[in-house]
Amino acid sequence: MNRTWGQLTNRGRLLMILKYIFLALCVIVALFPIVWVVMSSFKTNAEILTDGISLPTSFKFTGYEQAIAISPILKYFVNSVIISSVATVANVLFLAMAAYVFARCQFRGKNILFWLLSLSMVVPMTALLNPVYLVINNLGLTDTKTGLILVYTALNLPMSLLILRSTFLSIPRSLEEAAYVDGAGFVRTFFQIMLPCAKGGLASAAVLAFLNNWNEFTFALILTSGQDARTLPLSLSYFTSQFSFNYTAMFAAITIAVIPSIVIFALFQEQVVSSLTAGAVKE
Amino acid sequence: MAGITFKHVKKVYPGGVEVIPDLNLEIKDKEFVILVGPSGCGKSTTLRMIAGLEDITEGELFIGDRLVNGVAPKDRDIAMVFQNYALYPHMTVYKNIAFGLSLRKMPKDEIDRKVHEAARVLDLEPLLDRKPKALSGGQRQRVALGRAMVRNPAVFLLDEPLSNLDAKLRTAMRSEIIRLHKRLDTTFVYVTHDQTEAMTMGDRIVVMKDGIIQQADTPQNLYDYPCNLFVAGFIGSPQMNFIDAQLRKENDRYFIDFLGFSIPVPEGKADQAVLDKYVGVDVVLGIRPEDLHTEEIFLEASADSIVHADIDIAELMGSEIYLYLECKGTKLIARVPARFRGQAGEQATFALDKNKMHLFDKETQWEIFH
Repeated sequence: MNRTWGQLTNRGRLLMILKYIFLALCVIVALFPIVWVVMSSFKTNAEILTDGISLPTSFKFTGYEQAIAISPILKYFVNSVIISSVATVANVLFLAMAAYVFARCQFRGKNILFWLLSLSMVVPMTALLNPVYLVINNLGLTDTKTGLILVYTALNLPMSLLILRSTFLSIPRSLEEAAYVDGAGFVRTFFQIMLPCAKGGLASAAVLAFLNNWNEFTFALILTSGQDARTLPLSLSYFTSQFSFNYTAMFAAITIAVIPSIVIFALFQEQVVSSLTAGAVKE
Repeated sequence: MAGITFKHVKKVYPGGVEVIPDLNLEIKDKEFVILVGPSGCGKSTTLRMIAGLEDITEGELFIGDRLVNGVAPKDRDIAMVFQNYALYPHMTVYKNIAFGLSLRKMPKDEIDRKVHEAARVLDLEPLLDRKPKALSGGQRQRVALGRAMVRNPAVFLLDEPLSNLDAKLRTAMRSEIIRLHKRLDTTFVYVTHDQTEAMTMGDRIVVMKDGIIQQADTPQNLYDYPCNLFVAGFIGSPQMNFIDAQLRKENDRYFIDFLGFSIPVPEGKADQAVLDKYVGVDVVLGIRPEDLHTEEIFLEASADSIVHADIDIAELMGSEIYLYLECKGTKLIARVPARFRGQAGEQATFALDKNKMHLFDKETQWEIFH
């Protein structure tokens, strides 16, 4: 299939060039906003307003200093790390258990239950705002990290369930049977044999859940009011509402907010992609 | 150490598929029993019921004197080797072998001693720190054997353990498993669909079809005295020739008529009363490929059992030749010494070994005599 440049006809070469131009365009469209934000975070307000896409004249961190001064961004950053991480771990742990049961056990109503749980994927998030607010409020958990952690743990349920179930389905049944014969019970088999075997799926469910948690804005906005539980995306709204004229600080804040998610995705990208297609072909 | 007893065991899968209607079998302590049959015959289900991985719908299963119907696999004192090895991919060879022992709270130094002993026997010592991914198929299978072996189980279950290995390795592992059985001196139940494995390894072979035991006997007896057409065709390679025939009685002597030939039934092969029942009835003559002889001496000595057939293909196997024959539309196979000089396309003459003839009832498929 892969022929070298010399083996191609003129028409083939033209197609090849067009293909690469198209791919390059895609890359530019995807990368430009991020590069632009990072670049702008080093420019002065005047530079941004005069020439939006020029390179910064000098690399100064004044934007970052201002961002920290204007908003409690560092506090929010720590909140975000705590809430996203705990919610991710809880989500993956509980859904791994649920997914294992869905993948392996036979019980009445299994398919309907699975269908109902997956169905929550198609309910728009805004439709959940009111009921979730009421529940959290009645529990007395508004404006607490615990409240957000609970909501985020549940929010990623359908996606994690789908990924983890297909991961467990792809693990040969004989592995568990070997563990049973070796003397392990159901719980030990799950934790000592099945979870380690499902590493890839766990990692990808965790990455996707973490990114969702990290970027979530709406629930964080309505469920928190003080500084103790607010997350990073909310700090960005600080800039647009009150200090929208300070673009440098805003771009610096955005950079602080997006860098962790980019790093995490870059590190685990391969695992995410491979587990999304797991079980599609026989290995 | 324990024997295994099936008493009227029935297995129905959810959805009403009946795999095993009524299984009765006794496996003696320290016996090496092979369950053999085509795919879907219920042999793996039978093994998995012993392991406790499959529920028993009805009937009783004993390991030793203990009724184990509701007993969990871990409490049955069994070990199992799986077809796809089922090694824990995240553990080293050492941990794979030690897993079952550490679950039983065995002291660390004793585990270490047992793992190393098993590794020495199975030639795995240099590989103890490797993960299964870094092992070849044969090595993985040996780790699976080691994992089962260190537990000193009362019953050793093997589910087609060699079917993923190449032919050469399979032969080597075959003798390794036989040696292991001698060494462990415990009950082995071995499932396979490969009749060569069955013939070479077991003390006793249980041939199954559609969840029903067809015959359970020593390899030699199964080969020499198959009880029905299925067993006769399943055991032996190349398989037994089956020829539609009729039994004829003339002057108090019995003859088998087939393909225009007529061969007398040797005296004492079967009771007269039995044979009389089949006179004029459709029967099937069974003759193993090695019982069709081409040598002069046989032809001279067996003038009354001569058969002519056209050679379709002559396959030289080295020490012998497989002749694929055609005789009036019926395909036959003969296994003759390599010095045989016939060519494809020629007609050859064979002497049928009368004493090795099998006769089957065409309707019930059961044997009439052998």
